[in-house]
Amino acid sequence: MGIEAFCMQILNMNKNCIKMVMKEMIVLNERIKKKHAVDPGTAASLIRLEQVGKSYGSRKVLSEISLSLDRGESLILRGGNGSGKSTLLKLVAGIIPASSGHIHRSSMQLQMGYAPDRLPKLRMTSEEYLIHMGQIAGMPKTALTTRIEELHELLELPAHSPSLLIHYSKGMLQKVNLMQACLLRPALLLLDEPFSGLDTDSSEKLLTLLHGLRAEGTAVVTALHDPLPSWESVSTTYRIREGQLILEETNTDEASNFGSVRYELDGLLAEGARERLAAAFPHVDWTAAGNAVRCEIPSEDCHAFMHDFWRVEGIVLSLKRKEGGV
Amino acid sequence: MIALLQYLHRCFMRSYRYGAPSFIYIAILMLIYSSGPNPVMGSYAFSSSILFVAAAAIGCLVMDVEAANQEMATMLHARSLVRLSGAKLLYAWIFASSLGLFAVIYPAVLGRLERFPSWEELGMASLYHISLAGLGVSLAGWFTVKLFESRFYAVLILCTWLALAFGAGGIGNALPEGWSWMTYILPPLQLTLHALTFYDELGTGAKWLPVGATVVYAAVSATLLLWTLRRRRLDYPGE
Repeated sequence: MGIEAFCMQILNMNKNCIKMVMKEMIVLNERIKKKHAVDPGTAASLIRLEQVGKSYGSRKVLSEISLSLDRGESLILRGGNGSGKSTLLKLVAGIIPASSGHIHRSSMQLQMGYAPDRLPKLRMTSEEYLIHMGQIAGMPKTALTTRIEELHELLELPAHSPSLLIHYSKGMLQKVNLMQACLLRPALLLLDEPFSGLDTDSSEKLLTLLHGLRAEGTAVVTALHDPLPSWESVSTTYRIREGQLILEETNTDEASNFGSVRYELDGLLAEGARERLAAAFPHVDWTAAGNAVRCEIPSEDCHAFMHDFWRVEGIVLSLKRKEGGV
Repeated sequence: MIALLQYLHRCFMRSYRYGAPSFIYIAILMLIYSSGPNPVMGSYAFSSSILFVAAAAIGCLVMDVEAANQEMATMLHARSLVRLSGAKLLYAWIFASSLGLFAVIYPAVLGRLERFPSWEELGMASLYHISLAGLGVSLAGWFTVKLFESRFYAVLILCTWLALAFGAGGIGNALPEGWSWMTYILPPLQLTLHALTFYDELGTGAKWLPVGATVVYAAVSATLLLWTLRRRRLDYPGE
């Protein structure tokens, strides 16, 4: 073998070696990616609970809870009354100490917002109260004022009302409660029964707020009783049963979730046109009184139905999106 | 801290919880000084001992001024229970001290004392009142629903502890030989009352000793309380 052929063989061997090493690296890289995909409880986690338990005397409320939460992640806690949902939220917030296990936070200064199940009735206006909470949290005055007005507007509560919180209804207090939790755009938002006492419109507004915060990277943990499809579809649901945290297999299939969304249309429509539309859209529920109609339209029919409704010169008085739980 | 103090001031004022201890204290002063003339430092001894009790009541009321749910939210905004509880103790101390300053100035200005006190007497009387206000508040912090399941038992034990502080001298005399050191565990109220009663007979060191002892006792009590609360957090025993 000449020196030239020998060199070529070495070069080929090196090429093969490089190819093999590269192949190995790609496989390794894929493995690492997969590991992160199934195990988010790594250094990136905002908060991580390891075998956390909580007992009051001899009564064990929670045992061996392991959980991790990343930015933008949403988690729903379900369970009966006294099952330990609020206790778990308080543990995550650091309000109460764990009896066993460890809680790791990404930072000691992790910004958390917490809305307890109900806010006590204070002798302050909502604006005074929120200014105090913002100032205690160290928010700059201008940013605080803007944020307070923004939240009042979003949740449809008068920002400069002179009424004290002691005169507020349950739903209005709940809105103030949620506002104080969301004041700082926290990295981790913990909500205990946030929809309790809210009317349909306010619940939808709150959902919009939560979706917005989540999109900005806020991790949200909510203790819920009622079904809430649009929030469940973007959340991992756990059920607390006998102190244990059990992952609940929720139907997150978009199609099935899509089906639970309906639109409620109030409008005016001539009788003849109504019959034609009713025949074309058999899944639409009709209530009629003269020309006035109310239609419950499945989400998948909405686009076509509205097109035809206007084509037959129907007049829309209002159109509302409705979800199964709200 | 200033934001916390402002918030606590608004909560306390609008809760009207300050009413009972403040008005009772002021009413007692008015009653006592309705007749005169009164001895200068002897009168201050009386008003400071009553302030000690009023400060304890104010301390209890300020520590529990927030409902449990609200306290959780405030704690998260303040990012520390120690900061929040420290602010409550500080606020209660400031509030009780203002009552103490009133107790010093009111009889002097209205001429209810046998003579107008000297500036030194006014200054020292103010210090005695302020230090006893701090002592009362630092003790009261322990006897709230944060550490006791029942408010009734908390108040009962606080009252017993205050009564023991008043009777420390007698308890010391009644204890067997070698056991009198036990009175050092009790709040050093008697030192202040003794200094005020025999003020003219005491040297400089003996006049300042009660202030130092009271401040040290109050500081130790408050530090231990904050350390305990930091460990327990808002794990109320009633839950």
